Amino acid sequence: MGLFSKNKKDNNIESIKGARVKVLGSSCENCHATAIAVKAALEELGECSDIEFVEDLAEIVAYGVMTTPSIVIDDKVVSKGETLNKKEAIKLLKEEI
Amino acid sequence: MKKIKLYALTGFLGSGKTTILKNLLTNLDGKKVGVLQNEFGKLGIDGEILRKDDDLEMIEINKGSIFCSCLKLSFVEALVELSTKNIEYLFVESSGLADPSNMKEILKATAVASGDVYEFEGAICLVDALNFEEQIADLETVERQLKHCNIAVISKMDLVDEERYESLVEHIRKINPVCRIVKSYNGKIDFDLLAEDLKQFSWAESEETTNTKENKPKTLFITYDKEMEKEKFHKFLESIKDKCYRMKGFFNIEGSWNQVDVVGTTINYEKCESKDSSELVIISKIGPAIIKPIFTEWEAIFGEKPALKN
Repeated sequence: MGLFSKNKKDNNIESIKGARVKVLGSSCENCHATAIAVKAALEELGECSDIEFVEDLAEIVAYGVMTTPSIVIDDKVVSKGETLNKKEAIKLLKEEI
Repeated sequence: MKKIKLYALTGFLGSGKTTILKNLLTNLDGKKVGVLQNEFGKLGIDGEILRKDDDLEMIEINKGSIFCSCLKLSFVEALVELSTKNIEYLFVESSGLADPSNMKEILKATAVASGDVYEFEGAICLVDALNFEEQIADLETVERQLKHCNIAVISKMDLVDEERYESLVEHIRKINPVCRIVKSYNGKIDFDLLAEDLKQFSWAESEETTNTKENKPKTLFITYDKEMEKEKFHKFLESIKDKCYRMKGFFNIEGSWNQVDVVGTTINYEKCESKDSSELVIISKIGPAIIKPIFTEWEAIFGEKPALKN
């Protein structure tokens, strides 16, 4: 079952294929929390809040990361293995977008 | 460049994977071999048993199944690292509770990171002749391990009769009609198996593993800093063994160090090298509910509280 399963009642986020911002992760709490924080941060910054959640192992590894959650913006890895809250995600996005 | 021959060793807790692996390593003496060992507990008990050889490159991944979403990236990372060690063979000994259904997903990601360096020769699944029927009734993992293997090695054949063997073969065939089935007596297998093309015995397609963080069995540890009385220790193990998938560890028992193994109803003690402290890993069959009986039994037998850790 994926992280963004329709069965998840709370904090369910739609993963948009090809979105500019990607969260690389697995179905663990930290990855889930980071994805929610990034989405909320994008909304607060008035950016398009679409995100793609990438769970495919080969795709994650292709970005050169071996730790999750990681964040990719415009195909550039901007955060590796850090669980971010909304405040931290806003800071990161301000620098990278 | 010659590809590294990669084998996965699967099979339920206590089925004899480490014993078979030790046996394979002896046969590969003089060759550069890698071992990736995976255990559910935080303590690498089996790693302690193996780590004696200079030609051995070893990585341990503990605290869960390497096929679970929380550890599979670490598994890929370890495969990438071992691919740089100039090894000829790599054996992945997965935890007895690991479901290897997604092995292909791991191999695909490894190939993305480090190129086509591994030749996956197949999965060798150990089937415990004594305890298999009980184990498979308990957990889907056991069925998955068999479904995704190329060879089923029926271990502990020296402890069962031919009738039991035939009924095991019948059961295995219902789960995996293709795999090769071989017998193992006293922890030994025919080393020539490694020269065979095991890929021809592939059966199931890759699928999602059943290992998740949510269904991960509870693992606990007891440490003990005194010399243990055998009679009392045995009584304690007897009292909780039906609530455990497995217990194993090292104990200073009446002045001599022993490796202790509890599988099914069997409690085994084997002399071993001295350790820094006595430790027992307990893999619970009943989740955290095992904590209470551990405390009750230990206190009743030893007259003190156990040093129990999560």
